[in-house]
Amino acid sequence: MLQIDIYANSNRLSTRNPYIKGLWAGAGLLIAIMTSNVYVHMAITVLAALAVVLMAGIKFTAYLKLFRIPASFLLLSIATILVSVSPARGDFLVSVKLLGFYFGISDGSLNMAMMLLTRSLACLSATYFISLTIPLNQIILILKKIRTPRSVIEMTVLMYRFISVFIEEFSDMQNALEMKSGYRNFKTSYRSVSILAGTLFLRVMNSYKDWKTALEVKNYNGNFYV
Amino acid sequence: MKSKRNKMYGLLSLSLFLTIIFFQGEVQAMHIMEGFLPKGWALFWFALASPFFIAGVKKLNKIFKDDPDKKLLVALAGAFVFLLSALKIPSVTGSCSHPTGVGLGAILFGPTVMTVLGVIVLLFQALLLAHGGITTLGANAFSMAVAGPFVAWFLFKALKKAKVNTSFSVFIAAAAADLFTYIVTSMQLGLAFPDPVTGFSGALLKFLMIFALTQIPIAIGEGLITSLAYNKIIEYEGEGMAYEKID
Repeated sequence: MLQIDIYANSNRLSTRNPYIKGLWAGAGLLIAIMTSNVYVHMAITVLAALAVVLMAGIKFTAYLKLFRIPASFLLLSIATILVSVSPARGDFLVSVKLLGFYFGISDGSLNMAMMLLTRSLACLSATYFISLTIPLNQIILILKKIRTPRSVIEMTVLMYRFISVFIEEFSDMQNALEMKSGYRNFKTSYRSVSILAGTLFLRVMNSYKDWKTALEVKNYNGNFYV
Repeated sequence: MKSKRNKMYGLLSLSLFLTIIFFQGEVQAMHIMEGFLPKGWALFWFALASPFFIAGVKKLNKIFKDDPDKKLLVALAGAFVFLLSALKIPSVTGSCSHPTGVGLGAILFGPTVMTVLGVIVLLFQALLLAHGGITTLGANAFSMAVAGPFVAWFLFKALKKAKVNTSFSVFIAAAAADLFTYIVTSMQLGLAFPDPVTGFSGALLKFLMIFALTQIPIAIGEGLITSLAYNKIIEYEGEGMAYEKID
């Protein structure tokens, strides 16, 4: 199972009313995206962290580790927004001349970068609150409440089921390849990955017959009652 | 004196930047992270992606009406696309990267079906893997579930018609899907955050250049993997392990 999934199903908030949890997280997301006030963003970040750590009982270090996942995108994009390139010195706060161009940070981009950093963290915290405290069966309830098309909900449930069935097999295959030095060098790793992808495809698609039989046994009439 | 200090700032930020690039543990294909886009642009991309999504849902409903068992087949395809994005490809900088699976998915299952599957996969990635986000789902859906698959599918069909070698056309289609996704994402970022000095074009150029370091190797890697995997699938098919087609 995926790590976040384990948290979602085994914390002190997982059986609580999904609509209330959803509303809280939704409100957090909405407020964070609508305002550009740095302090409001920080408040949301702190509140979400308190809810996850104190109310749901998830370890603070585990929660912090999650923030490493988007870190590289965040740092790269913020650095990109922060630095402008221009042929003239202009009104940069600090600048460096490299190859005839000025690389510098202006007042506007500094404020922008700061606001973006806090807003992203606030939104991220609200989303982590959803991922960590609302398990997928409750997310389906929320999706039904907001009138998601039936076929999309069915696909979501079935895909979730199939992912959890095949993810074990997938990681076993990956470990097996690794143990056989399948990732020893560049060339073999490419071969290994493609064998893995090809085999996985056929394993997944060929299991169709079996799932079909299993459904027929259960009097499948074309509808999944979710 | 002052220019000396500025030079130091420059060197410092440059080395910091290179450290970030080379010591990222795992490189992801370009998902715009949660909360990064301002509200107007977030809404705009939701609006732009939704007609494609609705067309995809309509197509799926038709397929399901003709044969309800196909629900299983389409969901299996979606699970496969999600698992593809968990594959590890070694990359030049020494870290490993993940493919998007968009190219292979579009070639095997068609672009309209792939749009719906892609959106659900993006939702799972946002909630289960913390890649991408809910507020940026529209923008990511447009670049990865609409633009990428359509480019891959059209290129694949066109090259097939021109009788180009299959492995090569799969390589081109998958790599182009990745590259196009990266260009669209850079555009989305450039539009949302025009440079205060040089405007949209300057911002676009900056994003393109910075993410090129990670995204171009990913695209080439994914192209290679996709074409090798496609060959494997065809080879197994020839051995009688045929799977059913979606439509």
